[in-house]
Amino acid sequence: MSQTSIPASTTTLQAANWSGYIPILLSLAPSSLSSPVAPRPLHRMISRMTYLHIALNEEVMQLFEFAPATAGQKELLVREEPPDDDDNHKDESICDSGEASASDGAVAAASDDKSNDAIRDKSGQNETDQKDIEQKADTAESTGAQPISKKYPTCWFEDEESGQPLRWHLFIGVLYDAMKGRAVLKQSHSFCPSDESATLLPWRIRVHFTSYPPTILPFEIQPPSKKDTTVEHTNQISTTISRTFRNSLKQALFMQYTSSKVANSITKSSHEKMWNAILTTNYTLYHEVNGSLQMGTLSSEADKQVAGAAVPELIPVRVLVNGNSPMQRPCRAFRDADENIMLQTIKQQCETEENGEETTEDEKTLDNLVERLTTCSIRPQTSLGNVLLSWLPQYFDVVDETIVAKSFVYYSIQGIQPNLSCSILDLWRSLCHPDHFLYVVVITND
Amino acid sequence: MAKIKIHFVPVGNAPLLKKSKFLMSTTDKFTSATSFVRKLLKIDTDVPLFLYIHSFEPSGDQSMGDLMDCFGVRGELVVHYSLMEAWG
Repeated sequence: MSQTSIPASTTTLQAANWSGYIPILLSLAPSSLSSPVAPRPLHRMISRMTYLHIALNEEVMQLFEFAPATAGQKELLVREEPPDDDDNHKDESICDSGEASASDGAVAAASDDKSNDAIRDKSGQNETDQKDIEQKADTAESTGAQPISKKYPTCWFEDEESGQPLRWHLFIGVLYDAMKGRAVLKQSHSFCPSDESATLLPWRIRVHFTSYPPTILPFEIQPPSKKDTTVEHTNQISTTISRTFRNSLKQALFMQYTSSKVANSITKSSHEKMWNAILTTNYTLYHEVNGSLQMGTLSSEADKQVAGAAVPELIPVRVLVNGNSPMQRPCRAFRDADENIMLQTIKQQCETEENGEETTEDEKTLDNLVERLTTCSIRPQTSLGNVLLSWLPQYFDVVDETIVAKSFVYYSIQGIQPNLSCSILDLWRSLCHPDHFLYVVVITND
Repeated sequence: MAKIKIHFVPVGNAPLLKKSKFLMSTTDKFTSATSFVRKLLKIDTDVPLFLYIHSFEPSGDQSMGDLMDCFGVRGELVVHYSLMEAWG
């Protein structure tokens, strides 16, 4: 696919992606149950393109009625400071806080009593602050019609099979792909292959109202600033997620345009429209705003005219390995022209010149050379394999000049495994998530 | 352990820092930058604090090394801090 041709099918592919749903079975974690009878698990179909807290808002409220009265409030503000982040940062160097290793280990948080206690201790320290905030929030609420009991509780989700906490700021499709990857690898490596894929769906998820795990990002709930006092605080979780989405999108836009100009030019109503599109899984509404934001998604004449500019400076790509924090490195649509190829071209050019008619003009040759040097055949497109091999050399290999995934490695984008030779630019255009990041899930069994 | 240079720049009425350039480890997460600025400014967690790179707030679990690679300019990563929302 050449640099200038924008496939008309990009929007069709995006629309198809937006119609992807996953059947789930949501149950209440036994540790969060206070009533004698456990509520029945809830079957739902949830969109790949939204977030757990958004898709399961009502279900969480239903199950919350069976949780202890004190659950879902206390841990709200326990966050931000990594557990071992002490006063040792006075000098010019911030020491490695060791937080990375804490987040790397998969901790089965549900049964982790120690972390539980640590959290309680912290919440004890912060209790007075918290009360202040809660009071502020309550006063804001009392002006609205929502009774306090309807407030969305602090909660977190767990993948029942692996016991891993699910990151609230990742799209459901990305979380599901990681879970599926683990199951696929387990199946392919077991000696007595069972029909495990049949039991994959519905995806079993547990909701917890206590013991917020330290391994996943806490909700960055900002205390209401002066500017914010009029804002409703009835659903801070939704506000927080919407804010995270907006900032992720702005980050991706900066990478595409190498400037904040486009991101800052989005009006408030456009932002709201996009968020509403995510709340209601409405691709048409999303595309109304996104068409003019995401580079190269319009197949119109106007876009073709600026096709040169329609290739992002950096393609927003995030790679998630084994459910850890995302890797995000600069990724360009084209690889640098291979010096060997350039030399060959010049050599060929010289030969043509020698063998050609005497009337060949130097200028013409030069033009021709420049043209050949700037065509795509000389600047090869970066493939998905190029990206994965350079970011994760331990998991990908080159066999007979072809990039392949090692046997214990599973990768997936939007639930499919595109060929590693696919252009990363094309994949990004059609398979990126609503925040313009192309999420590549990599699971390994080493 | 590889280190990168972070330049903290105040926005709006945020107080100035006596020293504004620091070294951080590439594997540090962005949330540690936030808690570091809180310590420098001696402000509690109940005071709003916003940290921006260019005009967006990175996610707390992004690594400083990745942010430097994608958004660093001339060998340093500029992080703006503000006591109120600066770029909605």
